Amino acid sequence: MSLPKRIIKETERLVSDPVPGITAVPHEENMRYFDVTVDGPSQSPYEGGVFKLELFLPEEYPMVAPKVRFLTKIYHPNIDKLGRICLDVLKTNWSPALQIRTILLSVQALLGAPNPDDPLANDVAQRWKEDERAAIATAKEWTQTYAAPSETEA
Amino acid sequence: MEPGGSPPIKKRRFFKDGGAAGLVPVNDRYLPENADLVARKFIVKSESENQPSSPDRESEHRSPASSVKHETPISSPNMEDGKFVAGERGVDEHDVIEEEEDRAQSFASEESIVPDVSSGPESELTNSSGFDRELIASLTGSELTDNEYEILDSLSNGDMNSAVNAVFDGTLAKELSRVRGQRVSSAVRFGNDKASADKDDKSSAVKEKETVLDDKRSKPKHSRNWSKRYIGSFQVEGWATRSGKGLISYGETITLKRIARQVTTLGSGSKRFGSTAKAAENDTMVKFTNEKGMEIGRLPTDKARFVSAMMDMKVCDFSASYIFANEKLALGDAIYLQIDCFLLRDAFDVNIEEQTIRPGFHFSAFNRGQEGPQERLLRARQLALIRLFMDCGLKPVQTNDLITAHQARGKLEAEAMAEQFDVKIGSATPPDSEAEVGSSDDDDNNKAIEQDQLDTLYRKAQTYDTEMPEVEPSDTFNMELRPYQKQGLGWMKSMETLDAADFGRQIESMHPLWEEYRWSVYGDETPAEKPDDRFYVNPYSGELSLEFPKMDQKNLGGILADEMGLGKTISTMALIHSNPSTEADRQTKTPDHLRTFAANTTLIIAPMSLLTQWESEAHAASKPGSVRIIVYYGGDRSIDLRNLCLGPDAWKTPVIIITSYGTLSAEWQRFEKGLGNSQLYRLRYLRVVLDEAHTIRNRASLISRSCCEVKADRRWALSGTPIVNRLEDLYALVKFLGIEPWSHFTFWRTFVTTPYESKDYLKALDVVQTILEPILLRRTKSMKQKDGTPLVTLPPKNVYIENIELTETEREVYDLFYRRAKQTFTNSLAAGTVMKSYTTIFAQVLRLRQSCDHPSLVQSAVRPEEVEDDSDDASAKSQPKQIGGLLDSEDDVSLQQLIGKFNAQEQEMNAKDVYGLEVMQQILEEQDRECPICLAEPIVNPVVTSCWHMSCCDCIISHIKFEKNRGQVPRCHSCQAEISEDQLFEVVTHSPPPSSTNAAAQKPEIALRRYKPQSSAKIASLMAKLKAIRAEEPNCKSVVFSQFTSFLDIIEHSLQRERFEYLRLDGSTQQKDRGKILEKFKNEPREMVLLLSLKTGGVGLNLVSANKAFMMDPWWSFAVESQAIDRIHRMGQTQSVTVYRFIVKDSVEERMLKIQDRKKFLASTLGMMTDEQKKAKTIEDIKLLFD
Repeated sequence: MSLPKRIIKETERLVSDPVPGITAVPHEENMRYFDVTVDGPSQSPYEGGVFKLELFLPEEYPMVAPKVRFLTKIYHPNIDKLGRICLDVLKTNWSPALQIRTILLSVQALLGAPNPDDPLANDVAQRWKEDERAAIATAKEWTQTYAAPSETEA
Repeated sequence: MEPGGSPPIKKRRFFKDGGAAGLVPVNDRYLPENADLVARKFIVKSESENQPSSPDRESEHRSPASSVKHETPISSPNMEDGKFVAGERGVDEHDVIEEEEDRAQSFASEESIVPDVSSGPESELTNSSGFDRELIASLTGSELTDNEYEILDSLSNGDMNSAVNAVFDGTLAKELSRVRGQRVSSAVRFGNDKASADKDDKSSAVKEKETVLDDKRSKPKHSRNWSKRYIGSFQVEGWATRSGKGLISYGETITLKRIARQVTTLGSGSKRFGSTAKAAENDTMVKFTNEKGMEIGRLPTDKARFVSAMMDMKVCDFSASYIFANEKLALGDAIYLQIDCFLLRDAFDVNIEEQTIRPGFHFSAFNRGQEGPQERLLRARQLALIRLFMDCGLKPVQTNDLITAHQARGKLEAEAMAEQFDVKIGSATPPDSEAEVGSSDDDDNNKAIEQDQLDTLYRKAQTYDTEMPEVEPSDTFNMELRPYQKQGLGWMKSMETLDAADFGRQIESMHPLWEEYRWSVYGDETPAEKPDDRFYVNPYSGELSLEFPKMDQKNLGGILADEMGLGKTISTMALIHSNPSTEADRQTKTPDHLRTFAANTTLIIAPMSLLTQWESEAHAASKPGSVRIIVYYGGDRSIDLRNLCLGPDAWKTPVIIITSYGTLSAEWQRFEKGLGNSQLYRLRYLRVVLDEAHTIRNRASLISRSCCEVKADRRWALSGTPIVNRLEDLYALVKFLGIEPWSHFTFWRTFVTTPYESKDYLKALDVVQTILEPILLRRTKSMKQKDGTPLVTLPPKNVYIENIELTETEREVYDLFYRRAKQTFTNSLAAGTVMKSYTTIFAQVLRLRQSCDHPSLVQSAVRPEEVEDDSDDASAKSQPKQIGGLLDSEDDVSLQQLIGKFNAQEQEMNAKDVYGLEVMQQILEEQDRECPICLAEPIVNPVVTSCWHMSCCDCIISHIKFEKNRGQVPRCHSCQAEISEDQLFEVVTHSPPPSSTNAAAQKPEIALRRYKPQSSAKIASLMAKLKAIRAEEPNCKSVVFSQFTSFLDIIEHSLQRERFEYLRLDGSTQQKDRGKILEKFKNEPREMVLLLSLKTGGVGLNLVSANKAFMMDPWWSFAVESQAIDRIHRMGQTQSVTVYRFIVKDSVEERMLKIQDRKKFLASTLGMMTDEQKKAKTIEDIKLLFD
């Protein structure tokens, strides 16, 4: 199936005008499937980490949101063990006017502003509410453990 | 006879030139006393007073040879002529007697006047010219013009006697013709000064007549040259005008005498005398007198006609001798005479051709096939000559083989003309000559050539041989020639090459128009005594010559008459590159010609509008630096062409000079007057090329004459339409090319114009074809090359099938009709009544097809009073009621509702009026951005939501549908506000017309229109395509075909909505409007859509100005559609053509395509089927539809 013009255009723009701290590279065999990395925002527990995600554009895209999932383990109240993300724009607030770029920026923003009131990982959310400092420490630890930029990638 | 042949410059022999010495003794014997006195007086005076000045004067315009002769003693007559004197004497004596007799009366008193005047006070009646004009008039018996008086004055130095002598001895006439000749040769021949030319001619006509008389008086003249020579005799049966006994006796010499009215009323009638040619035509009586000078009888009219003409025109002299008559003559009795004919020496001096081509004479309508009075006179002379030669039984010794066949015909032609001549004379009152020439000829002669004749002519002249060898152009030629152009180049090169055989032949070959005659032996002469010299006659112009008329150099060049678009320009450029001048071109030139020969230069003359095109083509066709190209036009004429072309620096020499017809004729006018800068005419070019050569078709026009006067070795005429509307058009080209013998108008007239005018079209066209065949190459686009491929290949054509997805509602309508139609079909199939219900079935299929276009088309099926117009199927048309009745009522209601949706009136609101300017501004700005949904840029069919957010129409619609389908409330893509389909507004931008220039008007006008989802899918697709084209190819023209005019109506409406300029042509369009519509479509420089019904627009039209075609619905056979597409994709199309065929997915239309494929193989047999078979075939097709 041929790729809609919109997807081609978005992909081109991601290459020609990349978002700082974010990369998204489509798979050669499936242009709807992207390997994504998101740098942890500064002044966040995820600072210094490079998080790998996968992004898939469904057939209905842009009528429906892309499917995005963290591949790197992350300690975050809105991201579960499987890397699924609880983000309104990926769900109910999706609009066809949103793009890969904006979605990934939202994801990055989510890292900087965890929202334990709308949790996906309940244990993490609870911890965040009870002892935010400890939770942040764990998040930092996890970041260093799992999201440290690998030698090969650096 | 003069030894050493005829002198280069012929001269007249007149009274004074020794004529006196020869004359006196003869006259002494016969003249009456008083007449003799008069004669002597004149002779003496002429010898004593005129003689001294004459050698000087003559040496000015005579060759040295002849002036040397002139100095030999006057008293000793040329011995070679001596033989002639004997023969002539008889005639001349009688002539003189006759003349003197006449003059004896009228001059009786003059005897005393002459001395009076010469000695008397001149002041009395004199004027500025120094002598008495009236006196001269009365003495000479003719009124002279001012001009003549002036010349006379200068000749005679104011002396009365020498002046009178000058008139009589012909010095005046000679001087006049010399002066005129000078003017002619100094190229005033075509001067605008018609008046003076007119006057000149009139006066010369006067002179002509006069000299006839003069000559008779002064005969016989003896000179070192002969004055006349015998050519033959004929017998004639005259009739007596006198009764009596012994009026003539056997052997008595008879004198022939003209009884022209003018002669009888000598002095006072002279004004009328030279007036009209017509009068002269009717005045043909010739009487003959006996030795006593008594009129005895007259010549019969048929003989008299040419005898009188020959006498009047001073071509021939006649002497008659009595053979037999009743001894007692009664009035009207036959008198048999033998008439001996002598060609006058003077007749050989007239330069006919120069007179022939003096247009603008007498009346302005002189052009094309009409002949002027001058030409009429010449024709009379020609006819008379031919008749004379026929009667004398004179046969040419040599004629040119080339046209022997034509000549035989030409002679007959002349006879036919002569008969016409008779009829004219026979008619009682001769019409006023000018009125006749001016008006009646207008009707008869200017008959335009009919188109079918033209077609035949071209077809005959098109001798394109596919086997013609292809010739490669030279290396400096920078373009690729098509095979047929290479063949053309080969032909053109061969036309410019003088092969060796031609070269040798042309030297000794006689001019094809001329015939060679041997002088006849007269009386007691013995052939041995006469040198075997000849004389030459041009039977077509009546010209006589003593010199061998050499055939002109074979003309190089021709007419390239390829149809428009086949590359005449390119072929010419290839020729220029590939066939430069050779040494032979120089060798054949006289040193004079060599001095002005621009051996490398081709002069191209084109209409002004094409100059730049020629220049750019010339550059494009030449390797950089290989040729120098000069455009010589307008203010840019300061270059010294002569220096450039003839100068030593070869690299400076322009190979091509391009100029306009206007420039050329302006230069010609200047050149003619000997004024100023006329560089173009100072050179002799290697080649001259006329582009759009039919420009010169009026042979009398300045342009035409200017072009003919350009000197060049190789002459080419390029024209897609060498004949515009009459055969004469071609003459101008033939004249320009100098095609012998056709470039002589007399000849052309005889063979082409005359037969054509007398409705002998076949003959005229046949002749034209023979003329054209060797000199014309014409290829048409329809011609095939050797390998069967067309000469010109068309630009590519791409046919795309646009698959249309019906909207839901459309689909509902379609399905309803489909079910119904299928039901009917299967039912009748089951009942075995397919053939019976053929019409019903067919009509239902028709509905089905229409519903693919637009649901409202099938309204007529529901409401039968609306009959669709151009359904291409009469049976369906006649049955609407019945079909309507077939629908069950329940369905009707739902159907009507469904269809009703499509008919809701659309309304536009001007956004400015309804909403604020800010909104407008925002909309305007956003429009240029990309669609937030599909990222398309700019937005396709922009639509705004009720919250003023914009996107492509399709994007927002699919978004809304998607949300609805999954049970969600559609929200704005931008602000998440709730949105719905019926709260969308289309943004319609109406670009201001490009013509308006002020900035305010440049701002596009925006209107919002409620989005209407019920538009037909096909129309939506068409509009999207048209808009896309508008964006990509701004001024592209498109043609939209449909079988249904009712569908065209709907499309029309949509076009209006989108503000597309459009035109429409269907079966209901009046014939007179069709042309206008097509013309408008062709000439519209901007975007334009033409709506055409398949049936009306499918055939014949030429719509090459468009390069996009939309086939809105398929037809059963693709051939029909293909025909329609060919309106656009045909000869003359320069762009690639794109065709969109709109086919609704999963519908009968798709199946029709399959049927089309099948039909391609059957197409050839279709014509042989009966109606029943055809029906069966169609049923089969329909079966396929419902599979």
